[in-house]
Amino acid sequence: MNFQEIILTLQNYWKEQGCLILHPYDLEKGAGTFNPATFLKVLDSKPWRASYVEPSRRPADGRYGQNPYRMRLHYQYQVIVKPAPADIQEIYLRSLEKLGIELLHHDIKFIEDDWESPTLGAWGLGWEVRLDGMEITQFTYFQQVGGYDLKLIPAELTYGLERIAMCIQKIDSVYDLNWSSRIKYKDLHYEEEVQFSRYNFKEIEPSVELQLFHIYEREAERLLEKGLFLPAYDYVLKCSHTFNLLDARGALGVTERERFIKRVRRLAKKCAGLYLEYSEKGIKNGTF
Amino acid sequence: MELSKTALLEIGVEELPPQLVEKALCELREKGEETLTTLHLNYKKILTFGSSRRLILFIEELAPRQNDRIEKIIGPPYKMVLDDEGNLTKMGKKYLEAKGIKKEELSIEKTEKGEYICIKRKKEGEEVKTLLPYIFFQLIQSLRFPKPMRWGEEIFYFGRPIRYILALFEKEALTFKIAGITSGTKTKGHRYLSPSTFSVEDVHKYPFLLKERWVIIDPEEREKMIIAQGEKIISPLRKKWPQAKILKDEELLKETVYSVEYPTLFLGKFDDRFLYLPSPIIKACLRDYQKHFSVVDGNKILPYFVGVREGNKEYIEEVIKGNERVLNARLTDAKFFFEEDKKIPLKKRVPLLKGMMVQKRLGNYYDKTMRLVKLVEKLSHHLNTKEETKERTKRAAYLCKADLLTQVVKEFSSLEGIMGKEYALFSGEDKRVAHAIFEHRMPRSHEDKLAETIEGSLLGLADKLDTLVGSFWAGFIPSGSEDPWGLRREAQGIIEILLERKWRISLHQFIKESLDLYGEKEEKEEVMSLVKQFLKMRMVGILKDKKIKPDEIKAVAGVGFDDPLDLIKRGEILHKILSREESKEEVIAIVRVLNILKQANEWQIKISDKIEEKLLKEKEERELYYFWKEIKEEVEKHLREQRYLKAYMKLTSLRDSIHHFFDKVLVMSENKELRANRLSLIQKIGNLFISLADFTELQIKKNNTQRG
Repeated sequence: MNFQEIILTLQNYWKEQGCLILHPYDLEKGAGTFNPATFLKVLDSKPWRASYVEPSRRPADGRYGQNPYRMRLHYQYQVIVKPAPADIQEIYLRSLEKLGIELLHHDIKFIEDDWESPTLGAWGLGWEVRLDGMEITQFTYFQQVGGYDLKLIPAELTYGLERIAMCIQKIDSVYDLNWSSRIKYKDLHYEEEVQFSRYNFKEIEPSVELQLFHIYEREAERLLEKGLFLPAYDYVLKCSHTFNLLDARGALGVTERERFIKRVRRLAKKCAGLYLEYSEKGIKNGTF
Repeated sequence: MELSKTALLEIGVEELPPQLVEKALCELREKGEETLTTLHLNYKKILTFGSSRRLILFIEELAPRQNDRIEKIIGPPYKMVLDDEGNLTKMGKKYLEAKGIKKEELSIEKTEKGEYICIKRKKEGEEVKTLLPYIFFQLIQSLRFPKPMRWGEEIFYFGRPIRYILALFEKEALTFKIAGITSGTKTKGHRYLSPSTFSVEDVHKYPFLLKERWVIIDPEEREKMIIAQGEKIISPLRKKWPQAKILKDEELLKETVYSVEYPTLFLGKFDDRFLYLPSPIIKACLRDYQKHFSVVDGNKILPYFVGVREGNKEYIEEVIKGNERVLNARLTDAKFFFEEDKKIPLKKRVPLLKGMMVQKRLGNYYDKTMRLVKLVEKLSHHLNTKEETKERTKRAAYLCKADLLTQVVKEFSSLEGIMGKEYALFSGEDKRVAHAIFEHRMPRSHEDKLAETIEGSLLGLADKLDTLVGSFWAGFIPSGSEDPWGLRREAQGIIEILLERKWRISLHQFIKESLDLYGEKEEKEEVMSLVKQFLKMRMVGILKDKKIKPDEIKAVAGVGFDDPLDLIKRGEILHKILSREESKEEVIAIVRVLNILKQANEWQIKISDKIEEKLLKEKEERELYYFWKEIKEEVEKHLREQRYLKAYMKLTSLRDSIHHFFDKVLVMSENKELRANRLSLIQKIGNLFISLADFTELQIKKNNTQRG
């Protein structure tokens, strides 16, 4: 099964499970959790099921295309199911079978993993799912997001698409993956990895990014004051990505790093708070 | 008589963290025993089994009903109900009416507060069948997890979601509802080999039905399987490497035992080209990342690993191939980190430690480094170490935290110090300096050894002291069972190093030296006393491990614990002394001495500094005086040189004289001058005993003084 077929299979499967099939939120982010379809939608007390592909940028993970499975950009397949049904683990395992992974031919383990995102003020408990030792999915029951205790506990399933594909195609390097029958992963992403690794580690101008961070932060703040939590959240995402760039460049000391995370978290929490006010009011009035 | 029966509870959960399972099972058993006892239910024993997917409790030979028992109800004071002639008062009549009982049913209960009315009622035991659902409900609710979670819509907390509950009493289903789940007779087999739900109709068939479905419920049995398979799987390697064996790792073994329900071991290989990496990196990749066991031939690591599959042998080849692929990728990553790290000499990293915080209020690791350099200098000076040793220790102190900035240590925090040594060697540092860096975090765990070099011990001592003192200073103080900063281990390490090295130091002095390095702060005294008490607890623990009795510990610690080596020595000797037959009589004499001094102290009676010979009127006091004078110097010399047993034996030769003295001489004489002089003699003798222990704390005293 090639890369695009894996995505199509997952989309079909989760559509059958009642998920909306959404699309990436078109701003840089480190994980699918940052997409408002997860970050905001898990907060309110209305059931919600959605799934989407999310390109995830982690500048510090760049390896100039030299590492077989660490990259500064990878694709996540994100599923959010709120509240999680009692058989969510079995539903997940069936999705692997749909991908042609015979459960009895492998060793599949749910390994304890306490997930935390200090930037989003979020934490949850769950596992990383390992297929023959390869971490292929992050499985989390969110407990708190944006600093708020959740009313309905969702399950977030984040498939690492490249890793699953490597297992399915029995391939040792991500760049050798078949994206389609003719195009390989390296044809699309190798040069990008090389250039962005250089950019992230060597060419980023820390002073410029620092300025941008401040500008984005002020914008978020200004928009929040006007109650525009959606545009404000866009700027939170920009802050978060700028922070990741500075971090990868090694431009932040540990203390500073902590402070920056706290600043992003403060904004994210405010967005979450305004969203909750809006959604709860809407639920009361029947308009949400 | 009705037959006793077995009750069974199975809590089906999504994968609990394996290290929590054993604790949960233990809690389940203890709370089960507690509940059954409070409910007056007889049973033979409680057994627990389980894995990360299920917690199982058997109550064997459970009585069919509660014991009948007499219930006592304490009522109002006797006098309010009955008058002096034993007739009912007005209130008494009302009380009987309210309770619906007759006067004859009243009895009297004497309590500390006086006489009270008491009603005794026979209470018939309830049927266990009706109680069990309630008991199980309570049990599930009472389990505690360090990080409890909610799931779905329920407001219920547990370690991971509960998905089903099986509850049986012999062949009967027990029904109750908890966390949105109704208990029943349904359970599940192995997650992959037998995933479907099935029903259990008979408690005694349960283990077999599960075994048929590839679930070994007994952790001990799983452990045996793993060990036996490990032996078998490794044997082919012995043709080439006769000493080949799986590296022992109790923690990983335990984790594995609880994380799988049907273990199957497999042997995999990784690429030889990674063997040049320092073996701690390889081991960490195998263990920390992949949860594989390492394979070694003597000290040499072999390019193999042993993994444990959840399942049987079918298609194991595919599992091995997959795991090999992943491990090689992991090792590639580690190699990348290692090669990058080597590019920067360790000493160049030290100034960069300024950017790395220890903890919010404790400053950065560069500050810590500077404190360590100063502290090892002070310790070396105090302990009279050779100049070269001191210089090497200072160098090691300067470098020891620098590896925290390397990528390998950021990836594997367990390699702190271990990688420091490797990088120090690469940067051309002295071998002994490098080794001290390796050793400064020892003992790394409960089972770990202590440092072998003086440099390692000195630096280890300084590092732990600095962490401990700093944490207390900043207010990070462990409470109860909470110790998020691992300070107990640091404290334990301090004491162990001092004992192993036979180093005599004053805790007070070095806590103060260490605290001074953190800068000026007002509540110094309070912090110091808290740290001292914390260290004292560790010493008490060590004494307990040496089987020294609690009253003996209290006696030796009561007169000081500033020098740990001294305290432990005194504890051991006191224990030895008291195991002698004749010690009882000796202790009585010593306690006579100490008690009168305590009394004098309480009454604030003056005691002379010097003994005036001319004031010693009685024969017995002169005898005691001359005796004391004769042995005094020798005893003091023994005490100074910590020869406590010899000192005591000499001292205790005063025993008869002490008794004669107390029998014949009135210490608390009306004559103030005589009194002060006699007390002075007693005090001089008492002080010698007190150098060893406060004998008044000993239990033996009480029995004997009561007799006398």
